[in-house]
Amino acid sequence: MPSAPDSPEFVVEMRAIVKGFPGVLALNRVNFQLRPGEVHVLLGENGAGKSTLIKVLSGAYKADAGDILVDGVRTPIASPQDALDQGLRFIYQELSLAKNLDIARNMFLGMEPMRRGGIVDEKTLYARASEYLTRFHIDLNPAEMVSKLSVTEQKMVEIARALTTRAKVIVLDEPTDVLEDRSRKDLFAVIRQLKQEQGVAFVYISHRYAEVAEIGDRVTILRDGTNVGTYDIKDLEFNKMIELMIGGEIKKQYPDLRTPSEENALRVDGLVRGRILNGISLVVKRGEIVGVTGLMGAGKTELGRAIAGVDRFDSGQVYVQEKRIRLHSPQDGIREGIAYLPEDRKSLGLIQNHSIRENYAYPSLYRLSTLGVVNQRRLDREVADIMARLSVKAPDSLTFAMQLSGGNQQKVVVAKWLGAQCQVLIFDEPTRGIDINGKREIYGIMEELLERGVGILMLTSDYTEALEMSHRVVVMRRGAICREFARGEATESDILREAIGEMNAADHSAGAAAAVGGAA
Amino acid sequence: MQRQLREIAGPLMGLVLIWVVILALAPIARDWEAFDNVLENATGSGLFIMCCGMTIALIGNCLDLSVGSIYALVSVVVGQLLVAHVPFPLAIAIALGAGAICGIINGTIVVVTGIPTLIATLGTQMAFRGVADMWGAGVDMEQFGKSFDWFGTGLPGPLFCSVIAFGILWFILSKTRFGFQTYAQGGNEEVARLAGIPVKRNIVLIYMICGIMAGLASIVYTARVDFAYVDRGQGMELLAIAGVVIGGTSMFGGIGGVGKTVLGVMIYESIFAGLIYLHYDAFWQQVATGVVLIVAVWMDFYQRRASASRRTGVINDSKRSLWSRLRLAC
Repeated sequence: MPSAPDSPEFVVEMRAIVKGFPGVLALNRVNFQLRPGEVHVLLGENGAGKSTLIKVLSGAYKADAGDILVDGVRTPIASPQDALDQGLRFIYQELSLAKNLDIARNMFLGMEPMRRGGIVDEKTLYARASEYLTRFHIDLNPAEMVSKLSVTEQKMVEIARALTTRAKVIVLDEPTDVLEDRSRKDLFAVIRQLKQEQGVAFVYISHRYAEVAEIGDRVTILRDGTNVGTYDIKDLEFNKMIELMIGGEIKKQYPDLRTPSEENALRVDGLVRGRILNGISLVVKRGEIVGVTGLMGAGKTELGRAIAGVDRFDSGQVYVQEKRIRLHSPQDGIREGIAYLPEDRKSLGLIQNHSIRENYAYPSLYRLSTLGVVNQRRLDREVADIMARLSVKAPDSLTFAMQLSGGNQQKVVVAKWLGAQCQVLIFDEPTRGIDINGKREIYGIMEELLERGVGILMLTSDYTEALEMSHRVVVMRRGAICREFARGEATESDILREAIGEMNAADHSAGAAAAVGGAA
Repeated sequence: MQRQLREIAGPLMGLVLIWVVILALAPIARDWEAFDNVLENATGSGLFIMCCGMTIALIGNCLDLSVGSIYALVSVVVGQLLVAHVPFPLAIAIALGAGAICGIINGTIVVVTGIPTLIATLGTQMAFRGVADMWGAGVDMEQFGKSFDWFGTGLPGPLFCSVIAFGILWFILSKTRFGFQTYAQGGNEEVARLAGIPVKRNIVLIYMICGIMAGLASIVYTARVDFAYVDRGQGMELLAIAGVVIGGTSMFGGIGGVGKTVLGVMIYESIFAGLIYLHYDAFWQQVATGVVLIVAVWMDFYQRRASASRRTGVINDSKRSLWSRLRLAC
């Protein structure tokens, strides 16, 4: 049904796209239609084919079969340049701005307004940059260096840059994964404005289901490389959406937590580090999960790192099972039974080009060796056991970490720290970037750990996770603990209100309540 | 086993290819003598022993540019001691100790200042050579006697030392906790630190081992030529790096092994032998060294990029590893 090129129904249409990789059919005759001025959410578990589809559209991959229509006209896209020429813009998870340049330079990088003789016309450059920024209510000075901007602001600049070149379509790949709650609202405001005023269409890829209802108009759900349906979001229930995505009934996501023991696994007294941590005191019982949450920059990660001996602190005491410990390095932490599982799996959790076996061995080398020689038979046995126990999906233990999916990488991180046999585990954002099945498995492992009497300190910016997966929730604000909630005592908006502080909570709690409503 | 074979398939085929070319073009090389020569050159100059030390240095991401100067300095130390009639086992022990101290100095500078290893060891390269000059310039140090000279004469002595060096490094790297830790911190220093590995102490140890190996290399060569000389080992660090990297140990740390280094040094010495059998002038050797070094590092770079693109799933022919392309071409 070809429509006239001047009034196309779809700004981008992908028809029966097929793309195979050795051993897998990543996309199996996928159709995808994008209307002008809509926000179209692309949902699916890891490996469902979302990024492959986007990479076909961006020209990074060549489809094995299928057509791409832009404005109703068949348009082959063979390279990223073709996609750019068609007005398609892609904003990936990783930021891609030149940090050493200012905002205006970044926005017009490679297409600076020129005067005669190849000299950049700075006056026009800054004038046009600030014109774009004001038009989209991005309150930034175009002469500001990008290195001084927050992550949100950098995302905004990336979007503004996409617009300087008359974008028809903007593809956002998990844009809010790095953003805190408040910044998301700013980003959403810009998106809404753009679609209404400029008729820009958005493809929005996200793991956060609550967001889908908040920002999306329509949703396309992918599963195992096929399109299982495109729906108007207002017609689709949350549970139905998840069912479509995982292809079955929803199993319960969060386990029930058992009552912890009375013994303390970890006690922290008056921890101070410069202006970052102002006298933190907390207790984690054996068999207990204490969730620590708060906005980005509240000091969650810094707290975890200090307790594990990764960063030095100025004063305060740390006790493991009521024994005071001295912490000068992570080595001390591990010896005393505290492990820190970093948020950034890619660069801090695992050595990507080393095998599962080697990665597992590293924190346990002292336990695994006699007189400095590693007992490799024992190592092999332990690795095989733990891979089976955590059901790590990999051909064998010599598989490189980089060949694993996000969920399996996280399992190997956990396996590695289980091997170290620590009494206190500090999980920093344990399930960020992991799909729904992977999350459930990680939670299951945490539950199992509790039964063995381990104490868990869970640092998370996912309020639902904090509420559902911990015995107590501690909210941090500007380096201090501002409130503690018992299980079942608080809602997401309570947490948000504490995290932001009473003063400016009013305008945000409404949005948060909406998000909770979407998730319920 | 299969996997290990696949890893060294590239260098192995390169070695075979070189010999096919040599044997085809230079019939004169068609006896065991040619191969013998290669073995003798690699072991007798101490290059292989130095490469063993460089292997652990590169795996641990501790580039050492001072090994050529340590080679000169240890030559002077052992020469002075032997001329002063110190018994040769003691002289050897002290000389190795000198190599160890040089390494400890390197490691300490890197750990304390935190400056790039390239700069730190470039500095000590100058400094160690200065010390060697101070102690050894204008002094006659020769004719050390039969028992010491055994270490350098013919094939048995140098081969013995080389096997010892290989054995020690192989054991350290593949069996010990320290070896595992070396791979870890070479692969990603922060991950290693978070895993409770004493990264700083290990850096000092790694440089120390590298220094001892440079010292042992120097002892073998000093025994071989039967005199000590301060101007020895100029630019030898580059030969050592080339030998290690050609074998498949990464310049960027975390990947490699001494087994690979055996292959690398063989390839490298074979190219030299080939140039001689094919009657190229000696200065071509220098050109070849430069070219080989660049090509080896380039291939390492290539391989890294290839594995990075495997991770992202981007399948792109131009990014495929060079070795696998060579394999296809063969």
